[in-house]
Amino acid sequence: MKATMAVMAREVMARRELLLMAVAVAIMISLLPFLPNIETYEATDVRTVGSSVSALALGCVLALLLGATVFGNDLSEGRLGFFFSRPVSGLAVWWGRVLAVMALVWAVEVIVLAPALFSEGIRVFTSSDPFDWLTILGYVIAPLLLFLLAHAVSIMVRARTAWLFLDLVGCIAAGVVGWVTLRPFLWIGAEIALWVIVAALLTALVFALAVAGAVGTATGRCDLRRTHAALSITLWSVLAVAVGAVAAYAGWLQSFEPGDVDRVEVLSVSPTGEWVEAFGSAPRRLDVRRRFLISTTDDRWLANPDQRSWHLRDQGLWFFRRGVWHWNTIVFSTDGSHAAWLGQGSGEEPRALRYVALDGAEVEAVSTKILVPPGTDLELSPDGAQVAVMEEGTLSIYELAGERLLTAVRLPDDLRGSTMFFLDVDTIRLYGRSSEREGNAIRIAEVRVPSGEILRTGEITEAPDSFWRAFDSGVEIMVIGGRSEGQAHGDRNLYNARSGELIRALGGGFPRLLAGGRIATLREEDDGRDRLAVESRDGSHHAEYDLGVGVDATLGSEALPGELMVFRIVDPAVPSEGRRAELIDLETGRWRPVATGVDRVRAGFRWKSGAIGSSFWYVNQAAAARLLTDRTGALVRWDPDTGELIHIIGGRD
Amino acid sequence: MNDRAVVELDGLTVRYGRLTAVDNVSLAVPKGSVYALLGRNGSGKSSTVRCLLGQRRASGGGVRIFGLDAWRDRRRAMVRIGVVPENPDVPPTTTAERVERFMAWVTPRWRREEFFSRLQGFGVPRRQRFDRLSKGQQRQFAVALALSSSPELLVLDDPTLGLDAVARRDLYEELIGDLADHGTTVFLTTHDLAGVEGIADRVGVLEDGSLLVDEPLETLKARVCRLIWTETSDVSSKRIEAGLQHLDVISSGGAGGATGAVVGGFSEIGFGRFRQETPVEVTRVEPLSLEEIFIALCGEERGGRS
Repeated sequence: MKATMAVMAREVMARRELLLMAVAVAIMISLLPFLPNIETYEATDVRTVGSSVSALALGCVLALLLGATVFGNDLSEGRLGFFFSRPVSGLAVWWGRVLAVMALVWAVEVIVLAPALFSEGIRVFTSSDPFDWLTILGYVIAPLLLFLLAHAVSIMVRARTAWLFLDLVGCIAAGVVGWVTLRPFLWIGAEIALWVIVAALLTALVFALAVAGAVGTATGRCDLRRTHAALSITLWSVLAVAVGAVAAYAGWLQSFEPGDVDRVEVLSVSPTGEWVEAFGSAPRRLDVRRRFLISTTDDRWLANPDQRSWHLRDQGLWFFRRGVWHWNTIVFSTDGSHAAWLGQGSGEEPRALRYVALDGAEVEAVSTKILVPPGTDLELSPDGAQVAVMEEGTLSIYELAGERLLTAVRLPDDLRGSTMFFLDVDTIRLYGRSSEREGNAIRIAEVRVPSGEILRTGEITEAPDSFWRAFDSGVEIMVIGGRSEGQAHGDRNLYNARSGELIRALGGGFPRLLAGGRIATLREEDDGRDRLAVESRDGSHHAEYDLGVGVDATLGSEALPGELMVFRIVDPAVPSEGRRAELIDLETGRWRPVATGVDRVRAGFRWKSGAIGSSFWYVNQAAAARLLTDRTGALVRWDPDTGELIHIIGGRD
Repeated sequence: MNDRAVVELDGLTVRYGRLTAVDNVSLAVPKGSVYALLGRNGSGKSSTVRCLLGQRRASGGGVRIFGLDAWRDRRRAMVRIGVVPENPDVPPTTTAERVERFMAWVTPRWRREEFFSRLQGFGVPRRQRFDRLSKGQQRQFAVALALSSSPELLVLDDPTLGLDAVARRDLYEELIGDLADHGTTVFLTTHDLAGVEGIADRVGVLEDGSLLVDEPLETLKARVCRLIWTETSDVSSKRIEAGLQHLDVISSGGAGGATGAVVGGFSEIGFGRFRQETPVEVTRVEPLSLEEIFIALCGEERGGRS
């Protein structure tokens, strides 16, 4: 320790002129606001920016220069013998010099930052949100990393031994492993994990460089070639272990299975309810979330890594750009036999369309050669054999198995960006919107797949500017309701889904379109009493059921034919007891208990902690007929034969 | 190896890639002696010194100083060693005063007053940057630095390189003075054979990495000498060469009627046999200087006629 301090003191004294240079720079920065053309700016801002930029730049440049020369020059000129001819250990020589250089560099940074610190105080470091910690790390760590890097490169280049080949291979391997380790986090948008892994990799690099420098100096002593050999062997060995450990940690972060998931943030259900798409997180995995396709009836599942695609925001310098992620939606065929989605990619490059057959014993994703731009709407045919792609006004239909284009139709302007439904393998229904000038009408058309013919079948002219809509499972009828600032309001109208003809007006409340054309609507009366109304399509049959006061009722769907799932608070006087699910027979009005401590399926839920996800993800309740969430927030399936709740995913803290 | 040896080289081998710079060299330097390792440029002297100082790891064999492994226990050994390197390695921008502060921190047996007194004696300014000193002053600076750490062993790697005659004399005087005062063991390499002849007890000669000679200087000078004789016409040169074999001839030749030979194994018995078997008139037996011996041993025409 004493020798280390002696070396450090000697090195600091030998280079103390750097401090004088820093004082000169600080004085110049203080005088900057008085320069012509600059005096128009705020003096504080000029000093802050001048100091911050100069301190970092000077620190980095000094670190690079000193790293390249402090040991390299002495080794080349045979001057390291001065230390090795004394009772000073190699480690003392290394650490003494490293500490001296870093003390000088950091002192130079502080001196150059002085004008900003005097005028702005510590806000210099905290004003650049959201990169506060990065700013501080930049001043402290960047010069250290650059010094160690410059030292290593300087030794390698000066020695020019055969170990240089190892260095090149090591460099390339480290870069590839680093990128391969980081890329998945970039693509799935796990920013915290990304930064943790970046920090871990940088720490590993700094650690490896520091240890390699120490071993190189202690082992190579005055011999440049041996120093290079020792440095290279140590550097790449330590880095291999450290990067391997980081890569293993990164792999572990992403390796969790449905059984590990404790929080589901996004959930969609296949039309038959047999498969769910669940996107969730697991404990201790930072902000890494995985998407799975999970069977609700057996133990089949498929990890689906294509959950998001990533690209840099277009504006700004690349370094300061932040990532933008698209959600790659999974679409299911009506029969639940297939699912399709877009593969990963970056930027606006087209992505490969992928699909999976869900009706086999093994589920395995298939990547096709069908390329589709990100954000494009997809729709699978009822049997899952075809996929319709809506791309900038062109509707293309492909055969999935043969990866063959069946037809491509150029859509008129009012049908661009339409919502589409496969009615059968040969027919696609489109719902488009005319321009504001033409009254915002909803235009309805059908495309014949074999011929590519467009047949206009109707329109709805009196649709509100902003609306929500719901269809029955056969896309025969639809309900349209107004929406204002995200809230449903006003009356709901029932239409013929093909012709757009108004069937009748519905009252308030949220209707659920059931099998056989029945419509169930939940309304809260003025006295706080919830009522369930069940009526026929034409309104000729009507029944009402009193659900109680303050029960906060919600509707599920027909879990059994003719029986509707309803969720209510068990005891309004004790809301903490939770909710219960019951079935009501729509013919007799008879109630049948299903389970207590359950609620309808939601995404972004976490019942126990009460932390509902920041964005609510709509879940198709009609499809999720027998799926529920239990007290722990887990997705469960109700088995009508046994009455058991079978765990599917999530909720296990 | 000798129990009292301060320096022991045991089969020391140094390789640079495929080149063998030092090849299986073994020698011992007794306590209190002055060992001069001689050799032509590139013979392996500096590599030997680097291994001895623990600055370079031996490719084979080992080096022990005070019984310590020179590589592994370098730091412990260095407490007792003073070094004057071939090229002065003091940081160029530093001054004597700053070096002194560093030395005081890291060298337990440092003698501050002695250091400044020696510098004063040499006429080296205390506050002058090292790189602004003359070559001679830099060398004197290094000698003062080495001697002021109270060394039990002084290692000098060609200490007179680049020095003028006066500076060389001053340096040797300083060394002799220190030897007389402290009985320090000295291991030095040099090309200044005349200078070292007066102080060396023992001599080693390296050639192409191999140790040709390792013996006391007196013994060396006694066995290597020049014979001068007058040739007579009835004695064939073959007969003379046969007779010279008793004296281990190194080189032979003649001019102006007189003929001579440098022999490496002169002894009274061998000389007697030579005279018995070779009827020539030996006019004299000349002792050689260390420089002449070195040239005879390592000169390019070694073994041939000169």
